[in-house]
Amino acid sequence: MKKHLLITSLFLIILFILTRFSSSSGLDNFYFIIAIALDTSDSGIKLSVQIPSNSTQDSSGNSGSSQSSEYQLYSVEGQTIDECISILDNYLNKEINLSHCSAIVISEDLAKQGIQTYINTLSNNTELRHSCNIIISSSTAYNILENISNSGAIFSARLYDYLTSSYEYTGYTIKSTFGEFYQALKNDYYEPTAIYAMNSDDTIQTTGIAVFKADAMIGTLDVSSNIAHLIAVNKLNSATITLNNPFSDGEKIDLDINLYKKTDISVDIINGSPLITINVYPEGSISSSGTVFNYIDEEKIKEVENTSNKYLEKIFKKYVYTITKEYNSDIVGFKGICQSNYLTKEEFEKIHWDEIFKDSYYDININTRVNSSNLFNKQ
Amino acid sequence: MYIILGYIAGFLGIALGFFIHFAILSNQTSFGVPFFTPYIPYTDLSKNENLYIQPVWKRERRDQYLNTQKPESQSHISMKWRQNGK
Amino acid sequence: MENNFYQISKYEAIALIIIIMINKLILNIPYYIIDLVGSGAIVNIIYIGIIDFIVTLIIVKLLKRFENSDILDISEFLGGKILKTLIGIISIALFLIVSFITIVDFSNVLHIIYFSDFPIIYILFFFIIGILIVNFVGFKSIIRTICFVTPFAIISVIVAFFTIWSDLDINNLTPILGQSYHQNFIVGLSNTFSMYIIVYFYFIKPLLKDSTGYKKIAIISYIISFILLLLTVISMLTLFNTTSNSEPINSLFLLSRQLELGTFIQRIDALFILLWIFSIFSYLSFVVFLINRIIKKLTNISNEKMLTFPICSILIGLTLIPINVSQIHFIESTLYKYLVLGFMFGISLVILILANFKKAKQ
Repeated sequence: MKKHLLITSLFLIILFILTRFSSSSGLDNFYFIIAIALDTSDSGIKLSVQIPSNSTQDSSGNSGSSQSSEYQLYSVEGQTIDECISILDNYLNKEINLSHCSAIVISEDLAKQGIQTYINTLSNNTELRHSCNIIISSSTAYNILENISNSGAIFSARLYDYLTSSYEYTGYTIKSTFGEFYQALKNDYYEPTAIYAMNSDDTIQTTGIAVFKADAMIGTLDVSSNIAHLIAVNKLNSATITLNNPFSDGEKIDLDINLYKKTDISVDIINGSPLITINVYPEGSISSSGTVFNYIDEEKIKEVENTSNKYLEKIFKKYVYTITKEYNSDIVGFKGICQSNYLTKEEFEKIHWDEIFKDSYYDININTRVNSSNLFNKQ
Repeated sequence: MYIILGYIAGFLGIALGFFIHFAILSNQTSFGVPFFTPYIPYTDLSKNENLYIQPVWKRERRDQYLNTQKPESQSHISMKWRQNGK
Repeated sequence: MENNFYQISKYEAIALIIIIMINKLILNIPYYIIDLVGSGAIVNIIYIGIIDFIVTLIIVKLLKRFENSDILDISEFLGGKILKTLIGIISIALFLIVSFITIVDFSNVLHIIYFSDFPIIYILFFFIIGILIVNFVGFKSIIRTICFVTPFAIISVIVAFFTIWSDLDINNLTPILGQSYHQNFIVGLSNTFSMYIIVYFYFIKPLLKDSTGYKKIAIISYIISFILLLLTVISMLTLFNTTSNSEPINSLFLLSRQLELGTFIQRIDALFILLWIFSIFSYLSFVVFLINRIIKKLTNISNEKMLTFPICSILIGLTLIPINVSQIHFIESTLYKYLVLGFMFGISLVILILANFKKAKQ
């Protein structure tokens, strides 16, 4: 009995070895690209890739190290992403692997046409990480890859971090990863957003966010609206706002703000239009002021708080009326909040949210709290 | 063996090999006691059987899987000379 | 019937039932639940969980009079050899269909994700060979490997839930009652097939070392499986929109692709796939063992281990029937669902009730 088992299992194993089972592709047969750029072209799209030029030659030393400082850019035109990748595979004689891709750059022209097909194609690629960033560029996407290649950064794994991680301490942009973008695209509750980068010949600057409706880009938000957006979705780490000094004209006070309590949003339907109430709780500390004033005095603090409330209300109003009246794109998720007031979806569908969102009214309450300051001098 | 399986079918082959290996091992006994004793045929983990072994003077119970006649091997305070000497 | 094989203890029985539940979670069953009732899935699951719990308690109570017997012995007591053969054939058909769906579904997942160069029949062969060899080693080893795999599989489901805890968006879980009351409570009643473990409650009593602990085993394993199902459904609801039109191949895999613990641990899905391969192997070996045992009870063969060969050949034949993924989804959402429902609540309950009446008369 045992002998029969042994013989049959050995026979089966030999049978499998004879048929060529595994695809033998090691690390040497791949190009690990750092970034993809998508632009418009006459025949569909133009795909560019950025490849570090030293990493594939180190097979006997430290293999797998992708820290190099020279980059090569390749571009190809085609109708779909898969077609472009196969043309590139053919041209470069090695397979392209997306598992270390850290950024997907899309040009504004292409984003305005609609990018659903490209995002779907990329999401089906199992190697692509959902934590890679999506950046929309104001001129061509190839330009951004070129500027970054020539920027002299040493570590290729950190190349795009300086573009995309500034949201943590400035509040001037947002974190937009591929996974979040894809979910927002599939989601009914809120529209996708992405980092917007303006680039001139030599420099790149992330200014604000690109607002999408369904899968096509319809506009951008500037920096102050970006701070309001971060506050509304509870993702503000810290930001610095500049207020007019209430004690002397012509001078400014800087306030470092973050949120001490989550933003409270509630939606009610009154007479067929939504009334959206937003309560914001920022907490600030004074980081610099022109004239030194007695900042421990409670009345003075209240003055600063009032100024901050007015300023934040102004930028908030600009933000909400831009996204409602101008763009008609719900990037915060008001639909989802309204939906939580109803028990079944049938009842919610009767109000036809998509048509009434344009007529929403807003009631914005800011409750700033200035708790301390970073000033060392007191008069 | 695992290298051949890995060549044949990638990690699926290795998983299969590990599974069959584990199945065959769990049938074995060493001196009458099953192989993965305190964990797989779950017997109470007495203090002698874990990752750390207690010092000799603290080992008061014999292992449960041996099914001994006397489960206690030492009384609670085994170093009586130390206590009485004080 | 003589029990000349290994008897399982309480912990092993609980681990067995839990691994069956986890296999169902891997194979996209929560997706079908969410597909039917939308965002009201949580309320729906609590509702069917209570119904199924009551059914479990009824089954435990009805089986109390019959010591050490499973549904086949009871049907022999009720209706003689004819009824026993009928029930035996139905249960063999059920287990065969369940195991072939398992193999085909998971092989397709592996084929699409990792092994796109191979023809799918090689992956199918691998599963079948694993089942063959382990069944020849014996029942003891099957149970012990199940005991080994279960804690890791539970941990993987719980880890998947806790890593998306921070992204929990309550708005995705609303409206709480789903599409409408009728859809959630009346049409959603067919979701009771998700607690498939009740089918196994009919069969495991003779395997136990101590059949007085049967009630405790049933209740504890039911509660743990229910909690795992609830956690999986909540995690899936928060990540996936219920109104999108695309049909995911394997929702739990997509979920695990998006998990991140900081910047250090990314793409845990490779580890999860390994754990799931283990759990599917162990589950399939146990099912084939059960089929062997049923055939032995029906036909009195002395050495039932040799039966694995024909069973595996039938499985190979069955797995070659579906050609693409949409056929598998169709089979899962209609044939499998109604077959399980019919067996769980229809035939077996009726037989138990009638047998209890007959025994009470004696």
